[in-house]
Amino acid sequence: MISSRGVLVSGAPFIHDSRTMAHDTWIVSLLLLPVLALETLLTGWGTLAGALAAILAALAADAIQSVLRHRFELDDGSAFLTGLLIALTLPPGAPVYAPIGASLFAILAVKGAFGGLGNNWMNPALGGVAFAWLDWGSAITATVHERGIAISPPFVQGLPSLISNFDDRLTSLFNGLIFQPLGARMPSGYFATMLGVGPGGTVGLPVGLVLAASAALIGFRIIRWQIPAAMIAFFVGPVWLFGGVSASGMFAGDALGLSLSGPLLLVAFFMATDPVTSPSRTLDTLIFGAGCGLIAFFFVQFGAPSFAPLLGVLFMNSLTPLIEGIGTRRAKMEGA
Amino acid sequence: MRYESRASMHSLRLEPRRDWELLLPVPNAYLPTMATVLLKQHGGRSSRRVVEPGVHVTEGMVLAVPEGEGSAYIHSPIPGIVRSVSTYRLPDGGESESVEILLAGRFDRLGKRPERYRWSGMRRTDILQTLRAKGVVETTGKGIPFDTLLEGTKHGCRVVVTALDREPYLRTESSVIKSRIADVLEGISIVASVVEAASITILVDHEDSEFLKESEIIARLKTAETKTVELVRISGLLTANLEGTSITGEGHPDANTLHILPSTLVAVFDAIIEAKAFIERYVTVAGGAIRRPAVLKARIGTPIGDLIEECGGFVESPERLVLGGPLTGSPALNLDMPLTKTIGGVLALTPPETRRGKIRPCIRCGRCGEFCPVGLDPESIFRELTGGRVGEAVARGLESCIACGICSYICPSRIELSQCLSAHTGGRN
Repeated sequence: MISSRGVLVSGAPFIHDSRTMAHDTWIVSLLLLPVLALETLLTGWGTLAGALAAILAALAADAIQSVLRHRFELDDGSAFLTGLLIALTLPPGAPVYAPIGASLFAILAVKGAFGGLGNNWMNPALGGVAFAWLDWGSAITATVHERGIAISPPFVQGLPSLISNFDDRLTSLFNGLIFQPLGARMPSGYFATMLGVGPGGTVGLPVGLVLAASAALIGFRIIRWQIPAAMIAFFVGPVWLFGGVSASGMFAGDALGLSLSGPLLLVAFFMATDPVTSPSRTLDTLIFGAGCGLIAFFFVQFGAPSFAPLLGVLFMNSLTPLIEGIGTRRAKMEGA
Repeated sequence: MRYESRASMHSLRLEPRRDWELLLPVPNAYLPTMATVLLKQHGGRSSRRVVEPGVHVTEGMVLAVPEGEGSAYIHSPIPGIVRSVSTYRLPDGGESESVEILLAGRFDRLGKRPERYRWSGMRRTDILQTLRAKGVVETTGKGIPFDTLLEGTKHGCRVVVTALDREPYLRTESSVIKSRIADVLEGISIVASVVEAASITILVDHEDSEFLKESEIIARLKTAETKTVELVRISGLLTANLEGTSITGEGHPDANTLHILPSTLVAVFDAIIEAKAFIERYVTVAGGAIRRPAVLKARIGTPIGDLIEECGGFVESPERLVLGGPLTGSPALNLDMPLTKTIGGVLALTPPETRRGKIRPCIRCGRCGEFCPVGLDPESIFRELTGGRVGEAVARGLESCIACGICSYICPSRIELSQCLSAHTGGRN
């Protein structure tokens, strides 16, 4: 680079850490690939086709941007990841124009309009999915309902029932070994849900694999745990407290079911944690995460759209500069 | 130098790269057939040359005398004839006059039994005067004349000897402490008596600590004035805040502490006890491109190419040649660059070591701020500087930057944060 004095300064340091931004981004994508693979096995080719469409659309849009900016940036992996995240967050069975439209909007409008990677004010994938829901929400829900969440025929015949059987055995094993001696009983279905088979044989996103990928992200120190933890706590907590008020009073909301929802986990661990659009001080990240959760709760409670977590993060993204500004002032006052 | 009290709690552990055997005692490098002696090897102004081309010089003869603040005596590292005087381009863009000496004539020092002078009777001013006359300067960083540094130290201060290498690849200080422990201790005694040190702390790498007998050291260094002597063992290579020091490791982090390296202490020993001018130093020659990495004792003015040649030359062509450490050193422009008093390492690094990468946009990951040893947010300062808002950058603490290089090292987008910040501070700190 050129310094203000006009001389070339390619000085120290001469060595660098092994981690690069592109390296981290590709790791995130790799961690999500098993999720896509199992979901495809359960729900059929359509899911894979939708994902490929989303990824290709994102890459194509990024290629157009690269040409316009005269800067090749496809290798940083961010467009690929955006497409993949969009595909996983939209429900399987959504009409194929939804992931494509979401990817194009994410890259061209959210990421591109403000000057490319690092300048966007919301996570591109988040923006894309929200765009798809707001534009084609009824179409998405209609197709999904029409076909059932499972897109028939499943890719591997009998895989859902295999997983259900596995769940039954594992549940009874756990009950026999751990819960019965304690006088409790674990209802069946949790293990199956983890592997993408919901109650009644519906199939979808294997949340267990999403959770495993999230844990790996924290383990690799690619994300920090504060934002997802605060977001999930402040979303699921109020739902548990007030979500069941109308039916059976306080403390009766479906907390566990909600926290195991695939889109919530993807949004909390993979989108809200985008460093570009979230604060970095520890206290600020907790405030940010809590805000995401609470706003998502209000949307669920009073509007009940299925994309409430997205809206929560979207809203807090716009408040990030404010949170950081207050944080800076606080730090200065503490320092003084 | 100024250090924030809220210095980062994080420290960065880097691979020390001790994958080669240290030869002890440290071998002497061959004398160069042609030595290039720079007349600006220190922080202040260039020294004034007192020799003309054609003149015969002996080992240790004065080539240049100090002129102005921060300037030091420069001596001839080899016996010979002054062949030419020219202008040399320094890696930082500046220039320095240089004296080229062709090896010839008799050796006064080599192979002779060194003299030994007793210093206990010497007055403080005599010691300072001798250090100045022998051209002793800090052996790293800015190279401040050591007498000036001692004079600026408060009496009753704390002396911290950083007897470990603070950057990967370097093993210079470690080999000095291993091969010349007695001389280092003598050097500490001299310094401690000059500044009337209240306490002495020796920071030593865990790996080297078996060489040091703690009780003996304490018995040796404890005096009526110096009541506390402690040995602190540090395991692993820490680049972040270590006992309040930056990784460059010399000078005054505050008015009550003086940091010194063993390399400087043996120069003090040589000057006071053996009446030798500062004409040779210990230097690590290492990096993936070097066939047989080693620490050598080499004459000032030896071309780095000669030192590399002595280590078996290159295994492969290096991507970068570095003078000093990999985090704070300066780029070597060619193999003719001469060794100076402040160069503790000559590194030839290969691409898998430098891990250079495409510079990408900042994704605000915050790692630069997380690891900054003085608690700055390098990214925001960088943003102000590139936007031309120097005032804002200063308000965000630009002046506290110690140019340790950690922010650039850690940046996953390979943004040249440290380079930008130190270009604006001019490496003042």
